[in-house]
Amino acid sequence: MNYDWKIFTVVPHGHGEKIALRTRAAGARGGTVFVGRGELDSRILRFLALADIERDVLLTLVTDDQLEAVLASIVDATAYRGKKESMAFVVPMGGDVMTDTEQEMISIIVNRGYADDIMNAARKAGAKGGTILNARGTGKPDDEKFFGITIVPEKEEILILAERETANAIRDAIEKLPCLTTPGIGIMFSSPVSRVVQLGRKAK
Amino acid sequence: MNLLHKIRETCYAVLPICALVLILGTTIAPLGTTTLVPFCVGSVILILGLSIFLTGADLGIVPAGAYMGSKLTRARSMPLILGAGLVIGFLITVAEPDLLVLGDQVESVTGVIKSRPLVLAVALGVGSFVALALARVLLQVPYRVVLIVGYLLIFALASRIDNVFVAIAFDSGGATTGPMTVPFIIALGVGIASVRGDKNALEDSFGFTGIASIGPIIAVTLLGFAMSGGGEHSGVGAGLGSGIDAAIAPGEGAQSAASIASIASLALASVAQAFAHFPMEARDVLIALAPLYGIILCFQFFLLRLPPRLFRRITLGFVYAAIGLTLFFIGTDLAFVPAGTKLGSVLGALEYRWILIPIGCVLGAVVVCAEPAVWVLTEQVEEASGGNIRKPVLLATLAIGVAVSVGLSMCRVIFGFSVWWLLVPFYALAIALTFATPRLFTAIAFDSGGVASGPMASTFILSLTLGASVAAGGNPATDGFGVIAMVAATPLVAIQILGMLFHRSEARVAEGLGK
Repeated sequence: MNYDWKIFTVVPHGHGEKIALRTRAAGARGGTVFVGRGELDSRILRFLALADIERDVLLTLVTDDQLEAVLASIVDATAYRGKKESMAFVVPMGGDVMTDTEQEMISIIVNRGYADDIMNAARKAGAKGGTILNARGTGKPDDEKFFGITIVPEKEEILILAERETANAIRDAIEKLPCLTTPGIGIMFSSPVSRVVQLGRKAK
Repeated sequence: MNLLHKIRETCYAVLPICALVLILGTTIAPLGTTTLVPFCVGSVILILGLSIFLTGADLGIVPAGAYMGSKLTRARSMPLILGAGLVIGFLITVAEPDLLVLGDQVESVTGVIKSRPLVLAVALGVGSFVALALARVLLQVPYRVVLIVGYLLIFALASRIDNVFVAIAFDSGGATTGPMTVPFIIALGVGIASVRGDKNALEDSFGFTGIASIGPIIAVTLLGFAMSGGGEHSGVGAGLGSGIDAAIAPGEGAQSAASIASIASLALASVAQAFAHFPMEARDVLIALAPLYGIILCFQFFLLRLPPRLFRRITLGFVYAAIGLTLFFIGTDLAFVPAGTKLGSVLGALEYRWILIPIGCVLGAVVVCAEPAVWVLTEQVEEASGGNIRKPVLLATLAIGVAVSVGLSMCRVIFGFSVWWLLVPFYALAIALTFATPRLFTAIAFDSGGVASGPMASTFILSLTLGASVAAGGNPATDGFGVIAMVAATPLVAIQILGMLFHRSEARVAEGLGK
């Protein structure tokens, strides 16, 4: 089966599975839930390192004709929640990549531990938020062996959604971070985002 | 916001105990306002303290342990890893306030066993067994083998030495697995497993605490072995009993003196009393946390080199952990120790003493949910398993396990049989189950044994049992010892049974998908 769209749904921790069930009922074939963390938009709390919130990121692949129904089911499933911190966005997969979208998703994959410095720099450059996922590097053929175990690199993936202009500023700020100058420490790439939906209680 | 989230979670965990104590205290076991009002104030302080501590553990202690574990493994030097394990285990144990208190108590009661050698023996025991746990992962020795050898050694040694030493040995096993050391050791294990690409990595994430808590028991039994023959052992047991009697007595005197005071002034007085303890508790906590932070500081300069924002986060986490733990201890001292003792003695003196058994079960079940290290463990398990093994499931299983152990301990208070009739079968069953349980669950089970017997068990449950034992005319020294050992033993069985059920339902789901 060929999928045309990737839907990312970012919700408070614990809601990912429920929404996945609803999307399945609406026609999606499945979904994958990542557990990540985000930050509240409060300066003081961030300074005190108390702004963390746990988030689920649900990744759903859909075809052209499923897109509307699945998106509607996500909006529906989260309608009772507060408006804060929840959103869904749609990333096109291959085909004619639209380069004229207004929003971009920046993905940064780095060795574990740098996420906070990156988020801090991104915020200074205008990012409104971001989600940090824990990940592991792939098993390369030359993975290092040590006694009975194989050692693979630990990674963090940071997802930041931003307007096109801000996205450029954010990328510049991250590239200039002094702690990220070592070659091979990570990669950064962007995907076009064709649609962003704020989830939660409908605006009055 | 993480702090608010934690406060909500700890409320779910602690409020049931408060409600239960309040219900019991106003109905069948009248405690009077002089106990209940400080209890309420103490509970609020305890909830705040526990939430702040858990927030701090999430920000500081756990990530620091995980980064250290992964950096150590990455360094790929066996001597460095083993040396670091030994030093870390030794340093974090030697400063544990519970252990220092235990050492002093043992010295003052027995006279024969000095505090310093005991503390050193226990710390060495933890250090060498943390190193052993690390070596086990690197050499991929099955977890089961280490456990079987360890526990056989303990029981073989224990059968040869004086009972008092056995009691102290098992107690020191519980005392070392405190709320600061356990999260760090758990995180260390998770960190080591996180750099691995193989499929066994998840099940090797846990089990470090389980091995580390064997260490002190072996160390103290060995110490007892070395010292056996010196000192009059017959007098020692009686001495221990009277020491505990004396420790319980003052609470009752204070009771009648303050009974006229109104509730409001009582609440104020208990807040004042709580904060009079603040400097002392804070000092204890700082002494215990300082070596841990010291180790991390050293590692930061020589090996870790964490990015600046992350290190700042970890430092803040340690500050929160220190504040939270101080409040937590103030809360337990104010609320749970006196209420537990009082409740136990009132219930033990009742005509229908059997009521101790169901009440013990229920209290045991709710108390374990307020244990700080239990939360850290269940969180780490949920995270490491990618949300597969949920926090509430583990908590509920632990609660059932501890309920059984407290209920059985209450049976012992009433009928007065030896703890060995319970301990030996439970450990034998736990070891036997390792052959049938998925390995991840075996590791979690043996970790949770050490985790469940934390400060809440050693304050509330212990006071409850001691109070009941005194009132029912039992021997508080042996009864008190038994309960902590039991709280550490039953989760081993409970979690492994959960593992078997989990495995079966997983197999069924896989089968269903295959069709």
